[in-house]
Amino acid sequence: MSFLAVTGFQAAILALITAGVIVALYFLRLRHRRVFVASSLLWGRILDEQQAHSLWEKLRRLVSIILAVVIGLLIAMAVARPEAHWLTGGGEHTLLVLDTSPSMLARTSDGQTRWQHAVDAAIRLVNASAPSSEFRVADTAGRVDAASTSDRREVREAIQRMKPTAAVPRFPDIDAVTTDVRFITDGVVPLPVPKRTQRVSVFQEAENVGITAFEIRSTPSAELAYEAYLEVHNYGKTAKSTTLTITGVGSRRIDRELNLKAGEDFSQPFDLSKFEGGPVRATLKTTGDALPVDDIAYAYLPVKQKTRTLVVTGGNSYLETLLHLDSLVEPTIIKPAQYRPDPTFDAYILDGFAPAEAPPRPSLLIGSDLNAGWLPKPSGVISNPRFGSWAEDHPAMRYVSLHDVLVDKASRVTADKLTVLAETPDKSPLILASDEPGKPR
Amino acid sequence: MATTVSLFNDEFLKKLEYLSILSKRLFAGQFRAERRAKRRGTGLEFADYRQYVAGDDFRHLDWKAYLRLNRLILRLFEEEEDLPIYLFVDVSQSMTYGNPTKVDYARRVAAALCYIGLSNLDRVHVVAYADKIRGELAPQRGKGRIFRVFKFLEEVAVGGETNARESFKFYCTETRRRGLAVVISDFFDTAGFQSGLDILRHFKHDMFILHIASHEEVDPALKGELVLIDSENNVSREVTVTPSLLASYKEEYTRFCTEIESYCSKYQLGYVRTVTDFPFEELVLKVFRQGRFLK
Repeated sequence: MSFLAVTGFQAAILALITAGVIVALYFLRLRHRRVFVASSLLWGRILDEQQAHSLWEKLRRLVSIILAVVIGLLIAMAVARPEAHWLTGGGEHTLLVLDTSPSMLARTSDGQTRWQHAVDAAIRLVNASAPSSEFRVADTAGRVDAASTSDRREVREAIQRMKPTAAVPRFPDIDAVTTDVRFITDGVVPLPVPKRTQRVSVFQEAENVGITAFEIRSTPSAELAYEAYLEVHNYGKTAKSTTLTITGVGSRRIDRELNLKAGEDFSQPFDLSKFEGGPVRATLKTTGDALPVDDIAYAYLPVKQKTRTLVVTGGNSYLETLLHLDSLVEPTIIKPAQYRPDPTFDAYILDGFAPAEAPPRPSLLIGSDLNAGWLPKPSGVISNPRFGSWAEDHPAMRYVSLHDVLVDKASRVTADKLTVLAETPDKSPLILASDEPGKPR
Repeated sequence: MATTVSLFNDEFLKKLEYLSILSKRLFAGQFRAERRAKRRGTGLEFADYRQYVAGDDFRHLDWKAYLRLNRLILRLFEEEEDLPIYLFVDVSQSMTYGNPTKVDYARRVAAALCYIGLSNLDRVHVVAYADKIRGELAPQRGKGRIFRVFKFLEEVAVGGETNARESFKFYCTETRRRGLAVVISDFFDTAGFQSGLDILRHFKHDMFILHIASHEEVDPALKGELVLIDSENNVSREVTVTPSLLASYKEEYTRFCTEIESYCSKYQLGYVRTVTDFPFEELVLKVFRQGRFLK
């Protein structure tokens, strides 16, 4: 047993003082009221008889003082806030995980969201626990992972800080001291959880029609044409009518009435050829929809124009042919001597040439002997370098394969403060990028 | 006691004059009075015949019987003498209990009985006792002496423990004529109420017991943690008065009264129990008469 309000020594002192005071008060108690009676003859008879025959009368005083001391000690102990671990389960380290996936925003029949139910359940769990037990509170979005603490206020604040968000769900790691894992979820998002996890479900069926996919992609059959691919699903148990609206920049919009049976999918591409470039929004308007968050989806429609590109080269027929063949590029090819910085171009390709100043627009530099103050100083030359690895997830490298690319030679540079997009097996950078256009190092 | 006389208003005294104290037995009186005596004498009531012997008063010879039987036969008449009445009034400290106090009630009863006795020309002895004889009024006769009785009862010292045995023993061992002994007491005697009454019985007095109780001791309104102090000997006892204890006390008090009543019944003693809040006049004029103590 431990005490939450005082130390063990202080508790012992408190108990001693309490017992002492009660015993003292017992003996110093108010004198009994004195009453004169005509004769104590009859009183004496019954009292003698009672004392002679009653064990209780003999022990009455002793029991009385013991009871008084016990009651006093119980009050004193209540002040000291005792905790019996075997009784309260104190000393536990609980990992409390709240599912913050967007589906937790679904409204339930009582008008509250699943998330509000989850927060209530979490706070109930915390309040019902032993005072000395510790809680580590975390969400599945990776945004909140509060340190383990027994301070209930901190725990509650951490819970209140959380909110459902669109993020890749991830169950937090369990540390060695964790003795109990509780996961409060609606169970909609499948998430692998450790075996000993106890799930607390806040799931309640809800009528929901939501957008499950919205993507803008180019139309292969037409130049600079795009279409929006949209998927809608009815998660409810009844048929639903919903109004789909796709809006873009300006007054362009597409409206469609959808009638979806329970569990039915709707998927269709929408022609956006008349839409101007910019953000495109798809919205659903459904009566009695429990989850508004999946009724809106956004995508970006690229601006429909060719990229004006200034190509500075001493003569590279392969490169020039490639750029002329690309329908989205409008190349202007000049000699290095003709180079002047011109911000009207959208991009620069500098082949074997490095100007004294960095170009004013995003630039691609190709070459091994490039010397300019704004470029990293080469420290040597790499002959016949081979690509060992490249950053496939970087936007500049998307859909690029370097397996069959051969390079004669490359400058050896230090990739300090630059992003390495490709490198040799011995980690020598071959393709570098700067995230600050015009300020490469 | 200062109010004794005033409480006995004229109407009440007049009613008392019509009463007389009854005795179950006949006792030899000292003076001529209105009460039948054991002796044959010169009264008006014919009692018996007997053979004339020399020295008898020949005025009482029945001459008609002599003519018929030729024998001298003497006519006997009942003697009417006074009755010795002993009023033993308990004036111990316990008698000061109650409202009104038992001793006041006892004084008034004693005064009333005295008045009745004096009115009937009986010889009334008033004795106040506690641990010993506290006071004794010389035998009084004639209702003109009632004021002496009042004065005595008023001035007698109250207090001390009850010791009826020693008191009665001391009083009776002096030469006393047998008579009617009236004991007015609460009978809280540590030696037992029987011990005192046994003495009076031993001296062959006709006895009448008036047991006076106060309402406070019959149905005490006590509760909680108390120290009970005996008014006679100041012995104290700590007690927690609970309803069950109170019930036990009442049971014990009832048993105590029953013991006294049984004792009186066993020895054919007159017995009346009263409480101090019972109307005094009703006690004297009704209860005593119904109890065949007064007529």
